[in-house]
Amino acid sequence: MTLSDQLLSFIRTNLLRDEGAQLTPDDSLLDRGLIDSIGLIQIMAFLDTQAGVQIPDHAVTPDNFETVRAIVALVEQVRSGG
Amino acid sequence: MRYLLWQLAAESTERTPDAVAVSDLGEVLAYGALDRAAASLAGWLAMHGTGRGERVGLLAPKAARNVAAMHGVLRAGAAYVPVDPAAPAVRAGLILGNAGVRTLITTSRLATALWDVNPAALQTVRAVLLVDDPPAPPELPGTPEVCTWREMLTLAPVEAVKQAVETDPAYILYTSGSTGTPKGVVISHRNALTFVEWGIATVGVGPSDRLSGHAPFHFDLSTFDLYAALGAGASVHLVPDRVAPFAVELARWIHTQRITVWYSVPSALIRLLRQGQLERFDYTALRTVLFAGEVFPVKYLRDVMERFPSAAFYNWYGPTETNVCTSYRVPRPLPSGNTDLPIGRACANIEAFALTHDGRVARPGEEGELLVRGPCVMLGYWALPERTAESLDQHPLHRDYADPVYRTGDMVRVRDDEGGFTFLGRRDHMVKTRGYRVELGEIEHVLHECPAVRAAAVVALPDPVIGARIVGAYVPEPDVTTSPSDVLAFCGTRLPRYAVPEHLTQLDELPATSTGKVDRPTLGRLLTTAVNLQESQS
Repeated sequence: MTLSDQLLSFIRTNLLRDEGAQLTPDDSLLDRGLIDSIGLIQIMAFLDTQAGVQIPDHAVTPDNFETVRAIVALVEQVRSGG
Repeated sequence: MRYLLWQLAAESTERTPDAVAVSDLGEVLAYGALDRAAASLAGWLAMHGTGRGERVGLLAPKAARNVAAMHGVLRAGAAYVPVDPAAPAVRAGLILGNAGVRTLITTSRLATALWDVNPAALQTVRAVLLVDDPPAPPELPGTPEVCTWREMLTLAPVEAVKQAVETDPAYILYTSGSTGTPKGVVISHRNALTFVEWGIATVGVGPSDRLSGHAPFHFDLSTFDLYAALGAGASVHLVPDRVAPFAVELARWIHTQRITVWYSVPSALIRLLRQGQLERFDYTALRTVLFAGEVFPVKYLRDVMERFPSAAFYNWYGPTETNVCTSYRVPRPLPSGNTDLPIGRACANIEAFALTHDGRVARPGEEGELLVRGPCVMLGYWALPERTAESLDQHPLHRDYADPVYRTGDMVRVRDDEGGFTFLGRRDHMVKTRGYRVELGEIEHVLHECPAVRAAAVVALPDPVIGARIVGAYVPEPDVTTSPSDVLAFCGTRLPRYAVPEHLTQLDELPATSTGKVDRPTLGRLLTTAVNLQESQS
């Protein structure tokens, strides 16, 4: 499973509140209210344990967490030391 | 004479119609525009027969126009019921159904989710106002009237309902209920005004102030942000949902918005301190920082005070049922080694006293349950007369006339100094996490509703930053294959996110006492070990 799929699955299980709700890699997590302070902590913990990536404080921005696609790009950037 | 909550904004509108009243990322409303929108909205409500004695649901994001919507509901003589837009639709439907709302202010997305999940709970809803102005409003089965914000603004404004009285309900805030159903705290115009007018005077809020709006509308902290600003002719700047979770963005936002009065739970300030890179920004405009909802550990408070050097700090205390009822101005500098921050003394026109276990008024140095009396005390819990009667007790020393006091359930120690009271803890299973009240019984109730669960219990592990971490254990039904993440996903569809346990362990049986009850201390130790183990592995 790709990181994108893992992340979608994690968000569906832990952050989506309504059964049967849909989520794609390009849906805005922010506009849908899925990322509040607790949701953000959960996603960061997931990235730490599942992808072994710790996001530095300065990279924790709305743009970097807008969509699943953006988070995956952020992880790749942090991994490549960018 | 002010005796209705909408008069606060109405008076400011007369004085300064062009001054900014409320702003969010996309919309700025001056007092005049807020008032006109509210007057048209009152007209829309009147068209649907919604006036005194009615409730209006407000399931909508933290946005400027939704503040105008609250104002409109009050002008119409009705009470609004703000519901967390981030809550599961099942829970939102439960609250709106319980409150018996016949008109609902919401967005297309939230309305669709609500009607998808539980149309039966919404049978009483006759009209829906969609504040997001969708080009094509969604189909909502069984709902006769859907109106958009834009259409609503074209309606003729109506005069505010003046034959209302100060003990009419102004809004209902739902909080966690130990029986598994949220309970609605009914706040009157007088209840809210008592707090807001005291707050304006104490903080000295004036027309040049710029208040933050950090708390969501369903959380009682927002009462101060909105109404102190409107009453003083100041402006309130709603922290965008896109900004609030991101510490550096939030730190920058406070600076760029030139916020002068900030009010939040301590855990939000601690997050700013730890991750917000506060040293990068200028906070000389910030003159007051108010915090409430949970205990602020002094070691963090000291550091936060250093980062906001111009600000006076106040520790406010009060359950939703009384609003803020005691206040403590934090001395600057904080004395060293000061480990228990007082919650302060009673606000104006409020009596707060502690009753010892043997029914005496506690003296300095003694402990007791904090009781609160005065016009701040709620009307009661919506449609729960027995629960209301348990909480609103006859004053133990005034037996000769009706004099209700609210039993907070909070244990305090009476101080022998200016600090008033020291908060000690709860008498029951209610816990605070990130400033939110959570009844452990409500979480256990939801766990027991999960078809795969035979037995379950949750405990709160103390946490210096967020107050309590909620963790739990469950025993699955025999021959059922399930996992903690399945059970947590079920919880997520029934509970607000802050109430979903952060850790669940599956057990063959729950630890029990000799009388067969759940052995909570043992369970707490067991789960502490499990959580530590999990964290050390990651």
